[in-house]
Amino acid sequence: MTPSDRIDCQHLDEYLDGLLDREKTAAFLVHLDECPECLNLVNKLTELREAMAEEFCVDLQDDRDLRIRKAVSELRNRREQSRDVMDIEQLAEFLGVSTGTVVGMLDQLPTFEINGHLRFRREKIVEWIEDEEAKMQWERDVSMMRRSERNVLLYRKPTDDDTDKKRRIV
Amino acid sequence: MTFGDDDLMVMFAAGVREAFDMLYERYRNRIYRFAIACIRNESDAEDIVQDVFLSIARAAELYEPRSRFRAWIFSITSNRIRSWIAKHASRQEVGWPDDSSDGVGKEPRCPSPAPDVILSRRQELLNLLNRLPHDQKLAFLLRELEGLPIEDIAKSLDTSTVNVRVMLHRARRCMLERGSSGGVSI
Repeated sequence: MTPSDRIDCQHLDEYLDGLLDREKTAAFLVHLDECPECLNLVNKLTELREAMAEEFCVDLQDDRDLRIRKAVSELRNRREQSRDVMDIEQLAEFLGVSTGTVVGMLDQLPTFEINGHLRFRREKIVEWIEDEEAKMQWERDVSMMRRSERNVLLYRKPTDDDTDKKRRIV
Repeated sequence: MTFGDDDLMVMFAAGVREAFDMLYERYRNRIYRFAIACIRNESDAEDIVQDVFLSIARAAELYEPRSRFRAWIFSITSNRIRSWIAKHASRQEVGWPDDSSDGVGKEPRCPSPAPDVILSRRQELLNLLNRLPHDQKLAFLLRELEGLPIEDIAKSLDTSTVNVRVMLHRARRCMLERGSSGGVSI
């Protein structure tokens, strides 16, 4: 090693870290031929890399691999179901009906359009569902009320007027 | 056409499920092997793999195309491994030295193997690897096992490239020069 050499043992780490440009790498390779100490360390490191690659050459077990895939898939399903904006197919899945049913209900559903594509905001759909629930509940209440009013009419106790009318008819 | 990791991650963030499957195929065994090399516990390494991929699936929308996927996934993995080490450090399950430093502040303490114990060359090597300060070991494995460039290692370990170079220098000196002094013949 002469003082005039630009590349020497000091550059070993830079070489191993991949930080030398092409020209300096070539110069360091020339240095390696002349320097048994650096060559020895580089050879040991190569051997060490091979040993590690062999020692840690293990694959995930199939059952564990399947479990990870399933966990990730479930997570993605949950996230997709809770999306803020849905298209028709996602809304159909969300509501548990066919896409045809959703298409048939488009005039009732809160929707908006992006560049010709219909989209549904999740929170608006939830509000719509709550309105529908309230409407159905109201209709049930009214229906029950009317039924009970009819029952009162059918089964009310006869009054004195009714008895007088009967007598007159007889 | 083969997509790069970063392209696949951007596609996954936009809702393309198959993109994630391709990334999983590419990285599942790499992450598993790296975790095994770091913690030497297969079952916990499997947990770490699951945790890493669930984190990626959760944070997909936060992924910035400018950040490199490889550095990102190894950053998540390194953090999980650090947490694992912190959790198990008191139980001495990993053989880490009693060292909470980042691996840069102190000189490495390379143990001399007991003279009366003749271990196989590989076992000796793995023992030395196990006894590196933990961030030195992570940096060393990211470089020598995974082949990551220095910049990606710095991102993965959330430190500077200068620190990474110091850690690598010390780890190599510990692993290789120890061998030349008669402790380990590699």
